[in-house]
Amino acid sequence: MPPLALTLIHRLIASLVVLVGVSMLMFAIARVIPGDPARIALGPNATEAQVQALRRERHLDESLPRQYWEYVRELMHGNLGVSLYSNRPVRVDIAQYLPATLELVFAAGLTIVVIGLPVGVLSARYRGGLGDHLGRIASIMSVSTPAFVWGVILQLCFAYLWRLFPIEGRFTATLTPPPPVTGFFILDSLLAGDGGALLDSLHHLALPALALAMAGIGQTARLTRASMVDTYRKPFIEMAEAYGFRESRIANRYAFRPALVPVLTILGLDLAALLGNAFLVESVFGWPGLSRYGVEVILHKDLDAIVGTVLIIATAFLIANIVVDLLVALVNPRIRYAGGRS
Amino acid sequence: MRLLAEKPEWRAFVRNPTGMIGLALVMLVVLAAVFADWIAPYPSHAGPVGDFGAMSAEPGRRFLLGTDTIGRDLLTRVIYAYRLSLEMAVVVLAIAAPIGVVVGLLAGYLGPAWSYALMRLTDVFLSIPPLVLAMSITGFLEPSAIHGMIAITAMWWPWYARLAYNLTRAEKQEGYVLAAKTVGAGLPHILFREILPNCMPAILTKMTIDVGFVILIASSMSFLGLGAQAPTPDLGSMVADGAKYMPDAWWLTVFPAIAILIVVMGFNLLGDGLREAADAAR
Amino acid sequence: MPPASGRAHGDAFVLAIRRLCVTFRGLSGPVEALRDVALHVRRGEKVALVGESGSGKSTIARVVLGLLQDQGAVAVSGSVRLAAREILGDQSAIRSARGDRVTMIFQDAASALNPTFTIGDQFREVLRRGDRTISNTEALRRARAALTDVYLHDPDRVLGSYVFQLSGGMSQRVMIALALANNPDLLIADEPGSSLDVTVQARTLHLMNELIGRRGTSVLFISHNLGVVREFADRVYVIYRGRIVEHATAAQLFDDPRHPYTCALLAAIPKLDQARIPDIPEASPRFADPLIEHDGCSEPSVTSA
Repeated sequence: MPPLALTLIHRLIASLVVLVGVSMLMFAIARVIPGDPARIALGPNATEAQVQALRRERHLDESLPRQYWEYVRELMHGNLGVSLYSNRPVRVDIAQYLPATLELVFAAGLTIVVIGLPVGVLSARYRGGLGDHLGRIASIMSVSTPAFVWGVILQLCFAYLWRLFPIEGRFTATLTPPPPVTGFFILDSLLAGDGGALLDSLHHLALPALALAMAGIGQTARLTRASMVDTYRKPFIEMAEAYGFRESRIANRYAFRPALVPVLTILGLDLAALLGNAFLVESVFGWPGLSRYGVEVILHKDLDAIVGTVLIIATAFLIANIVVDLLVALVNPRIRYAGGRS
Repeated sequence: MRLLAEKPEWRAFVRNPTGMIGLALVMLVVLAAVFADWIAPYPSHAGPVGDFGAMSAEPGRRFLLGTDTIGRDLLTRVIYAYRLSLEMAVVVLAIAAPIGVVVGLLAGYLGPAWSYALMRLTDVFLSIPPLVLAMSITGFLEPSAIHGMIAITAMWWPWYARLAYNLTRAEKQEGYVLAAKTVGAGLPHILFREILPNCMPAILTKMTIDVGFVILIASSMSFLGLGAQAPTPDLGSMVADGAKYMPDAWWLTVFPAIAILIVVMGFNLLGDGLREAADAAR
Repeated sequence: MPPASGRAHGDAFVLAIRRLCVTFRGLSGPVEALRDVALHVRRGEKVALVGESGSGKSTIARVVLGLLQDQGAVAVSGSVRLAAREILGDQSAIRSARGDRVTMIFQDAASALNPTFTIGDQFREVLRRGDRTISNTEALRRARAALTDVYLHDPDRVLGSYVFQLSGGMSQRVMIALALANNPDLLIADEPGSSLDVTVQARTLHLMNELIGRRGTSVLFISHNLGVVREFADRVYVIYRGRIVEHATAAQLFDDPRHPYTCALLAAIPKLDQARIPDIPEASPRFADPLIEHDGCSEPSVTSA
């Protein structure tokens, strides 16, 4: 079996182990907290009989391992339970809100890569210069500022004071959104060939995506710079210089590719922060994603919905990380051929 | 014993502009928080009641940063919010770091089965976005500053486990560890007397930087209404409340936001400076 | 000491260095790395530069290739001519020469080859230095030929490999093939193969010797080991603490060493019948040294940042 496939299988198994762990953790938190989950779910006005009925229905009278087993069996059937907040299956709720969140996260991730990497490469190439120092200060500031502050600042500047972008929402209310296929407005309007809808979605997406990306841009630029500077000290760069390879070619190819390996690995871990910060940015820009739902179900102590939301987000993170691993293998032949992790 | 001022690390640190700027910002915040009762212009405004004669006053001579919608001095509330934030960060790190470090030391030193199990355990926590995990934990409890602290602690220790794990794996191969093993030192001695002291600089540097990031996460949670509750002054909820009055009462949002930036950046720069100084002195 | 080749700068010299001084920025003030160095290599000649690590021999290679600015050199003065063209202070002259007219073999080939590009990619890049318009098929043909020259029998497999898939000896051969691919006028060899085990290193050196002999390439061979140099060089420069302390033909040097440092180096060549290796006074540019007298450098005329 090719080493890459082995790596992939290894990662899939580890991810599955982690996912089981996440389900156990969430189950434990939900069951170990003080108070009767059935009573919490039904609220103080429910009768004792109603509470007992729910306890039976949810297997709450059985032993904990048995309860967990029932819970996992339901999960296997794609059943995440019923939300008390919306009175709908949690799966349906999540299916409705998740695409908006993912669209935002993808857009932010793309922004991070497109801006953060070049800034880091240029910083390293002109290290010690004025631009490098300014870039360093800017990246520390961007990392030190919470995503919601970026949201509020960008909204104040570019939506309130200078009315370039809409203040909130995902689509202009008076327009018809594209027919839902993927749930991603950008893709859906492309599929429908609707240029107006595409522009409108992009117009709404721009500020939230930038706000979400800001911390990541700084972080990535910083990491890329450090990794590039490190790579510049390697003998193979001296060799490239001794053989007269052009400076820009060394920066963009011979130093960039090896330097990318650690950056990509850490970017993968950073995706978790991106998924979490999406909650903040959605709340600032009234973005109809998982955030509002998440906060509402938390405030309503809607256990099934909370657990379901967390599981889905963890799954998204793990899948994204496997993709990142494949990308790392793409730039690092050592993994491709030796199967190990660098 | 050598004086601090003679240590090469200290001299390298003093010469490092990044670290000194960070130290200045951190001192500013810490002193303001400790002496809040003396420094804050209107200490009573830290509670629910303000000056009803000066509601939503613009920043000016009487209220340097302006007042909120019920006439409370913003500067006072920012100072008291710093106090709460710092207390939270210190408590969180004082609990999370030791737990994580012990797990990491064990995972790094013991056999592969242990390290696989322990590291997958940290993966479980790391695969849930920090904010989401903290939010869901407060969800099961009641939103409050204490529960926020518990939640953040629960999501923070794995980072220290990872750090200690990587450091231990490197140190394990060093001669002094092998030597201790050869003379028959016990596990606790090797972990805490031999390996841990050599990991401390990296751990302390991370803790310095993390003070800022704990404050950042705590403010994010309270921004969503899942942290400290009114009337406790809190940076995150101040930004959230102020955002409702944008853009007219811009100061309600902008100043608490800048306050967050100052403290997080201060600890960030300080930590960076410490790390660079340690590297330079080596 | 024979007189430094003063006047002649004609085409006979592939490399002529005169009065070269290099100062680095050290932790506690400037450190002189090279002082008044004079050295030349004639066309087709094999010249060795011998000294221990820290003596400044690698700095000379870096000056010739214009790589000093990356290493914190604060002042460079003197004259360095490549085929009669002054390159000190003329980056464009160095740039057009390196990789084409001057190439270098690095100490540790395994770390001098880029880990994320195939050997073939790196060959193509080097061949482009010699001929900008070279086609991919022509580059492939020449890369194959170059690898066959160094006795790598499956060139196509090597060209498709990454450096970590090759053994140390194979990487070193690839390195030699790369260095000779453009038929350079001057080859700088910095202790080739010294990171390999002794038998592999010996084979590598013989291979290199054979190839340059066939092509008539001029070589500046940098080494800390006089034993390796003996069978290889026409002339030898001995460098100690940034100064050339002895200069002679190889035969002269081994028969009649003049400088005490050279004697110490000669005595340090391991022999089977000799158990003890005498101590060499340690070379450190910071402390005064009894073996050489100082007479100062001329004021730096060229300063690079």
